[in-house]
Amino acid sequence: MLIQNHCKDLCALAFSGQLSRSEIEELENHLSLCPECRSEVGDFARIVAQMPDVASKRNPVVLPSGLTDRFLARARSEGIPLSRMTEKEERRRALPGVTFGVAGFVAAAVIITVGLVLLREFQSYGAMRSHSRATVFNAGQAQPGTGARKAAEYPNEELIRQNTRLKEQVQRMGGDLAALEAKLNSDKERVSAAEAAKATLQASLTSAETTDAGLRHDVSVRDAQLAYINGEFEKLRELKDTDALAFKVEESELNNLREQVANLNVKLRNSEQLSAAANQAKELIVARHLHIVDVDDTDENGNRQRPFGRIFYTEGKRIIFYAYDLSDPRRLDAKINFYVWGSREGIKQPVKSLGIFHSDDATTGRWVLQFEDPDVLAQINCIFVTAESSKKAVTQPTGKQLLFASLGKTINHP
Amino acid sequence: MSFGFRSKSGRRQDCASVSNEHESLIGFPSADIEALSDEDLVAQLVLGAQDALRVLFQRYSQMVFSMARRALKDDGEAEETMQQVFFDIYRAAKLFDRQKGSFKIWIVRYAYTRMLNRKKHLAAKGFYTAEELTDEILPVALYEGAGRSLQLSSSELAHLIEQLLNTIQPRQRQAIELTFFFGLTAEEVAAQTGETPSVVRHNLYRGLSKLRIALTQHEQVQRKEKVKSVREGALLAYPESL
Repeated sequence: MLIQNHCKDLCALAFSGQLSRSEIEELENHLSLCPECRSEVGDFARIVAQMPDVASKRNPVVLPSGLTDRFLARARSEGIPLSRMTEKEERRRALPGVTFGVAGFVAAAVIITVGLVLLREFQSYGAMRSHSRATVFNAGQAQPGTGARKAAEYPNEELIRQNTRLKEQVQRMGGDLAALEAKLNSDKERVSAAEAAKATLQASLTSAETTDAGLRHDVSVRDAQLAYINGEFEKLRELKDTDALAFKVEESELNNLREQVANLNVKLRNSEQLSAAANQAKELIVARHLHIVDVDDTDENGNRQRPFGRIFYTEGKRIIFYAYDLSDPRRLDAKINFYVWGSREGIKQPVKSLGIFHSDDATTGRWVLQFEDPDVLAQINCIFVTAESSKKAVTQPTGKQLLFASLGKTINHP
Repeated sequence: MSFGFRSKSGRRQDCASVSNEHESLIGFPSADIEALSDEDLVAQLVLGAQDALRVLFQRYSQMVFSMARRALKDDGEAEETMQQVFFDIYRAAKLFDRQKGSFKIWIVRYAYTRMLNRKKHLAAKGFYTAEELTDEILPVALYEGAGRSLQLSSSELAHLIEQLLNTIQPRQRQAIELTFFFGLTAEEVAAQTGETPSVVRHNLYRGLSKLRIALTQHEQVQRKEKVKSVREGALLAYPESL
């Protein structure tokens, strides 16, 4: 197992060509188990792969002439039949400024510059050569043998120096050109990266616009639906208002009708009561065996008391007892009920309860009781009234007897 | 006289090596094959489109030659090394797996290994042999096991590494430059700097680790800024989403 730091060192040196065979095997074994170090080795591979470009930027190397031709020739001799340049490549070389874009322009500029330098050097050389010739001519007068040798050697030395200078210039220009080309490539890659980012943004924008358009369409559809629903709602509201109005009218009419019905019912009840009273009166009037008894009370001194009454007794059929002024109408006492009792004089038997007076007309102090049980009526011949408490059940008279009346044997009304 | 220029496809070519001869590619339109990515070209190479090697050569000969030239300090040795690297690529194309890394990482690994191997032979015997590289020499398993976490583009990485090299300790920067720019071994670096080889190795991995950490942090910041800018753009377009 490698110590981690040692492994990191080996990763960094993996592509330096400086690891021994045992170190390579050690590293390979570790990499097969360690993804992190595999990733690091990949990074170092990329870094090392750029080193030749960095070196060329700082110190460009000029290719010797004929390099490609020699490689193609050797490839053929090794059994690899490679073709030469294509027509397209030939055209590129013939018209670099037209075909090769910015790099071609730079190359063309270098060509022109070199040409101008050559021309200047050539002119300089021509002037110098004329001067040399004159010098040689003059010298030849004194030392013909030496002068002829210098005239033959001097131009060559000067040409060699010029050639050296030109080579240096070309090399410098080649370096500048390489730097410019590298910068151009770097700029191109930046431009392409920017274009890629722009395309990504454009795609995002397009996608967002599509989404936006979809949302806007949905909103318009929803708006249309909402407008329709609002319209329907308004219609319904109008209908409701109309119905409510109609309902109110109908309700009003109904109330009127109800009121009319109530009035009619009242009238009907009055009519019925009148009719019943009329019938009752008629029956009393036409009754064959009718006893009409007026009754009142007197005190011990024979003075007439306030209450009095009148009894209409139809034998075996009905008693109608009207009593007046049983109590002060201004002081009606709800705690007291006036009971009507029936008994038979001369025979001792239980008193029969005929019922309780009820107020027939409070303004006139009139009370009434109607009794229609023939069996009871057959057993009594006199009736009287007692005042009893309303808070207890009353089965027998306990209070003072009032308005005692004998029904009599004689019919006193035809 | 010759000098290089970059074609439209961004690959360096040699003007002096231009030939008027022209051979059309058999079974594959040249325009199409030149438009393929590095990884697709290797796939075509495996399928038998041998001219894919020519396109790869056009794209990477400058880089491989420069590496070899700086390390071996001789045009002839460098050219020989470069040719060997491309023949290595040709023979090993079927081993390439784009899922495990880019072609550039692959060819740089071959170039370093071939370059160091040649230096060792030159140092030991005074001459080199064009022996075949084997998996014993190439740490294939390392490559295959490598993950990829840094997502920066190659040019961006190169630009950042160039800047970051100026921020690390001078002895670490020197170890990195001498090792990777000039292909020196730890012993050779130690001979130049007066340190022991183990100290050189220490400086090397410390420097590389610092570069990696700084690049990772830069990438994280860049990613956050990108997310932020996208979010701000979206908010600008749809303020109602606030």
